[in-house]
Formats: sequence, C-alpha cells, structure tokens
Amino acid sequence: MPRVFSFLSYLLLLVVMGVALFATFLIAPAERVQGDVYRLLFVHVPSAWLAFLAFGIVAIGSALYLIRRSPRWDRLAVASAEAGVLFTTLALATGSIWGRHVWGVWWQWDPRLTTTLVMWFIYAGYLALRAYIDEPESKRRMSAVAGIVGIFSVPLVWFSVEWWRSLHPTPSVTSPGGGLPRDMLLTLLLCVAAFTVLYGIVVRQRMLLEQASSLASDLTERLHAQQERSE
Amino acid sequence: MTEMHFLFFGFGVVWLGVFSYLFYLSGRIRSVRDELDSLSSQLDAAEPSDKS
Amino acid sequence: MSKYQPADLATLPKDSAKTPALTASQLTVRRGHRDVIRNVTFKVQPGERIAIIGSNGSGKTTLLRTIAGLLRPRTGNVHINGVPATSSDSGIRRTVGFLGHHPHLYPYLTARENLQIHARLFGVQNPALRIDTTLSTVGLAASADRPVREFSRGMQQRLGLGTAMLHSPSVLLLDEPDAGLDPEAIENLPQIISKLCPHSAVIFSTHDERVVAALADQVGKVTQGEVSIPKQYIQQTDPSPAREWPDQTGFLAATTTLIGKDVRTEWRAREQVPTLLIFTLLIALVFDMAFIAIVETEAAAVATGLLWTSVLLAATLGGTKLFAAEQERGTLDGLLLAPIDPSSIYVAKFFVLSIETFLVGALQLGFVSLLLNVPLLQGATIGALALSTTAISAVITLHSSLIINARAREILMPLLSIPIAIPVVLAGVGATLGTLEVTPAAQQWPWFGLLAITTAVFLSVGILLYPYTTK
Repeated sequence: MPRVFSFLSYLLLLVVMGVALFATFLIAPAERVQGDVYRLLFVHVPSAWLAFLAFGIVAIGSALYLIRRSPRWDRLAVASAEAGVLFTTLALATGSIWGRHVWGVWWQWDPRLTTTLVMWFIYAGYLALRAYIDEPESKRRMSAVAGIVGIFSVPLVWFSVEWWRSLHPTPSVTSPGGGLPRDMLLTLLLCVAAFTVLYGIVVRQRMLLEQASSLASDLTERLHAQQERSE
Repeated sequence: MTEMHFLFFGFGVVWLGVFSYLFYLSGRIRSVRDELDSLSSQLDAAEPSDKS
Repeated sequence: MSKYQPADLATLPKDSAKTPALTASQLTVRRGHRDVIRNVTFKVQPGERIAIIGSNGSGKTTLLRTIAGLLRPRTGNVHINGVPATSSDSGIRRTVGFLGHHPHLYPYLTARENLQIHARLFGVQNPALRIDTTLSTVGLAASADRPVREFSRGMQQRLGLGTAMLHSPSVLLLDEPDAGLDPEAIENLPQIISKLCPHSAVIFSTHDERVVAALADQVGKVTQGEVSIPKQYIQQTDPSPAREWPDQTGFLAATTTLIGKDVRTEWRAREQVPTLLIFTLLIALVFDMAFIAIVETEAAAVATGLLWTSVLLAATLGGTKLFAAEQERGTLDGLLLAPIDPSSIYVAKFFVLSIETFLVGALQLGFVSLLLNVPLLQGATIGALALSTTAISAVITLHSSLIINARAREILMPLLSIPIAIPVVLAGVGATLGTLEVTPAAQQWPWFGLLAITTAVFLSVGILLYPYTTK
C-alpha cells in the first residue's frame, strides 16, 4: 500500500511538473519590459511561498509536539524545516540570478533580500541545534521551542517590502487591482500546485527517514543491552 | 549573458537543487534501511526469542 | 512567608493517617531509545527506609530521579503524601529532598550561603536555627563560612546531605549517600538522618552492604529496569487521600533569591564581566584606530557601530553560559527541584543577563565618547541603551535555555540568536542615532516602541515556553 501511494505521488508530481513547465514556457506570454527572463517568477515566487508554508508547518508541528509529546509531530516539524530551507535557498538563488539581470548585481542589501537571508539563517540554526543535541527527547523539546520562535521571521519577510523602502517589487498577486494578466496568473498557480506536490513528497520521505533512523537507534540500543546481558 | 542565459541558468539551479536534495534524501533512506536490516538480523542471531 | 511545617505525624488529619508518604504506580521511564525503568510499582510509609540495590546501569539513578520529579515518566505516576508529583504546581517539591550523584552546590558561595539559598527557595521556617543545626549535625560547623570550592569531596557530600534534609522533607531520596564519605561519616549516616529527618520516608541507593544493614528496613533490587521488592510494599490500587497540598514559594522571593545568588557568584568569581570589559575596551581601541580616517565626518555612525558590536558580543557570550553553567555544575537540577515557579528561574536569568549586557554597553558608551568625542553620555542615549540591552537579553535568554544540552554551544548561541536579534539591533541603532540627532529626534520614538514590544514579546514567549524545555 505505501509503495502504491509513493508511486502515485511521484506520478502526480511528474504530471503537474510537466504541465507547469509547459505553461511556463509556452502559455505565459513574454513580458513587456523584461521579455523572457521574468519567467523566473514561476519558480521564484512558488519557492518563496512554499518556504512560508513549510515554516508555518514547522511552528504547528512544534507546538503540537510540546502539547502531545508524540514524536510524529516532531518528525513533521523537522521534515518541514528541511524542505523550507531548501525552498528558501531556491528562492534566494533564483532571486539573485534574476536580480543580476535586472539590477546588474548578484546581491543587494535590500530589506526583502536581507530578511529572507535572516529567515534562512534562523532555520539553518534550527537544523544545527538538532544536529548538536544527542539525547533524542531533549532534542525534540529544545528544537520545538526554536521552531515556534522562528516563525517570527515569516511576517518580517512578508511585510519588509511595505515597512522599508525596497527595490524588490511588492506582491503583485495579492495586491488588489494591480494583478498579473490572466495567463500569467494561471501559470503561476499551476507552478504553486506543482511545488506543493513536491513539498508534500519531500516532507513524507523525510518523515519516513526520521522514523526509520529513530527505529535504528532503538534497535542499536537493544542490541547493546543484549550484548551487555550476555557478557 | 543574454536574457535566455539567465532564464536557463535560473531554472537549471532550481532543478539541480531539487534533484540533488531528493538524491541525498533517498541515499540517506537507503543507508538507514540497510542499517535496519543488518541490526534486525544481528538481533535475531543474538537472541531469537527476545521479546520486550 | 510559608505555612509549611515539617511532617509531623501527630497533627495529621485522621483519614489521611494511612496515606503512604510515597506511591509509585506502573512507572515506565524512557532514556534515549530504551525503557530504563519498566512498570515499577511500590509504596513507602512515613518513617520507612528502603535501600535500592543493583548493578551499575540497572536503573537506580533513573528511578530516584523520576520520583524526585527530574524525569518525566513515559507512563505511570508518583504520589507524594497522596498528591500527584507530576502536577504542574511545584509546591509538592517542598516535601521531597533529593541528593544526586553530585550535590547541587555553588562553589563560590560558602556552606552557609548555599544552605541559606536553599532555605529561602524552600520556605524553611526559622532558617538560621535550622541551618545551624544542620551544619553541626553533618559536622561542618567549623567550615560553615568557607567557600564550597575549597571543600573536599567528602565535605561536599556531607553538605549535600544537609541540603537535601534542610527542609525536613516527607520523602528523602539519596542516590549513593555514602559516595566519597570516610568510614566514620558512613557510620554516622543513620544518626544524621534520624536527627534531621526523623519521620521521613527514605529511599536510597548504594553498593555498600554495611550501609544497607545500618540504614534500611527493607531492600529492593533493581535488575534490568524491574524492581523486586517485598510484597507489603507493592501498592494497592485504592486512592489515598491527600495529606496536605503545599504552597509554592512566592515568585518575587524566588526570583530575587536567584538574582542575588548569581550576582554574588559573579562578584566573587569575576568570570564574566571582567572578560567582557577587556574585550570591549580592545574593540573600542582597535575600531578607533581603524576608522580614524572617517571618524571626523561619520563619528556618530562609527560610535554607534562600535557600541552595538560590543553589546551583541557581550550578550551572546553571556548567553552561552547563562543556563549552561548551571547545567554543567548540576545546580540547575537543584533549582528545578525547588518548590518555585520555573518561570522565576527564567526571569532571574533574564535579569542577570540584562544587567551584565547593560554594564558592558554603558562602559563602552564611556570609552567611545572619550575616544571619538561623540556626546554619548546623555540621558536619552543611556535610555536607548538600557532599552535595547533589555530587548537583546530577552532574545538571548530564550535561546540560552535551549542549548544547555547541546554540543558546540559557542557556535549555536550566535547562530540561533543573532538572526532573531536583528530587528532589535536595527531598532537600537535607530534609537541611538535618534538621540544623537543624526536623524531627526522625532524619528526615534517608533524605535523605542519597537524595542519595548520586542522585549515584551520575547520575554512572554520565553516564560511561556521555558517549562517545556526543562521536562
């Protein structure tokens, strides 16, 4: 059953990614000012949004872990944090390449870019904290607190373009009136759907990995206990 | 570099990033699975009737 | 302050006279990936003394730490005098005394001061008399005013015994009380307990047959996490009425005691503040040399940058050790065993870090205004500094409580806290420049507001989440 589920989810990913790529290059029209390079939007924006979603889920998983103390919620949090760091990295990388074309430099100390980098560091810190605590229960508790605190960075990134003067464009999708043309918007939504499926698969695999390695540690300890007994 | 170069560079980075993460993840899953197999066979060998 | 009285059997309500001092039912405790204690059930009446024996690693320490409330059982529960020990109200700790492998002592404080802190946290009545009795009973009357770091292992162990018994607990838990004691002191152990805790139920672990013979009414043996104990000690399932539900020590009393302890320790040890001050002075000198070319035109900006470099450095360095030092000394366990609200531990640490960071910042303010000739020593600038060091400390205290069990704390501390502290630094710099009239003065007030809000948010989140990090 899980194998069938895995297979179907990968199939779904393949189909949605295919359609999204098709829309990105063949359906969405070229942009008036930027021409074709703006098509980076279709990976840049979904990456950033999925990163926000992922970090939101880190906070939810962390809070539920502290309340219920079930390792399942901790697994959700760590899986989502890794996915979030991956998507933030992609958003930063595509943004940097796009910026090189538009602004002529790879990096600007602009509020949106800086706060995004800060968010990346906060969740990299979360993953580092996990790596440096050995005792599993303590690791889960401490990182759950860090996972809840880290969520403060999400509104900071989101509103940075409004709070400070920024070179980065304000959100053109969510702002009323000044939206994207219909075909671009549809393409963007398709790409967001594709990235969401990717996120789901990554989180599921990472959760399974976490479960398996915890089981491996269980068995190792049992083996050691047996060896001690037989000595 | 032309516009198209930037576009393909960007997409290339994304796909490379995604696939290398998936590759790394499946590698870790495989190694943990192997570890589990070897552990459970060691446990069976050490004490076949162990229950806890 | 407290209405707590030592357990006195004659004054107890009738229906609770038979309530066991301690019941443990179906305790299972997991450490790491293994159940170290499996399904343990027993009860102990007031005045009974039980020895727990078993080989190394059999689970004796885990059992005692779980009963003491330092470990959270996976299943099962512990009742002290009929009161659930896992309840969120820490007042129940007043009735438990615990001596672990390492006595929970502060090395830079004297024996008497250690006992005084313990007495205040546990709300002991008539503390001066009780402390004198305790010191003379454990044979430390002559060394009462010497700092504990000069004590031998055996003296520390005796003081640890005295601390565990100071508040006349109903349940006394001793993990290898004979460790480090000389034969004479081991011989005295029964008298010490009889004198200081005559009515307490005592559970202790040991490897020494003589201690078992001298002290124990009964023996429980731990093997592979299971305890075998004579039948009459296996608890019946009928619930027993609670004997008394003790109060927590007041928040303010606990917090001030803890702040006082940290300030006094730092005053004697001089470990943190002088290091930071030397760093600060060096930063000021080096920056002043390096920026000499632009100091003329951009003096205020350079001064502000300098100030903030030192404040961040002081706060992160201070934060690295804030909770971790207590954890390493084992004294954090001692605080968690006290009948106090855990948030008072957190608030005390926040206070200490705020003071430390502000001191370093204020000194840097002095250096910088001298070296760069910028008028930093004025009310508004000092106010901006005070507010921002408080905000930074709120952020850092939170992360400091998370890294106590981590390796590589020196890396984790800045990695976790500096990104989150960025809004604080931004606001702090904004407020400082505002007071220097580099930017229009009216622009500084939103920054002050942001600092106040950040402090409030991080302090309340920290207080709210701190109990989760301890257990």
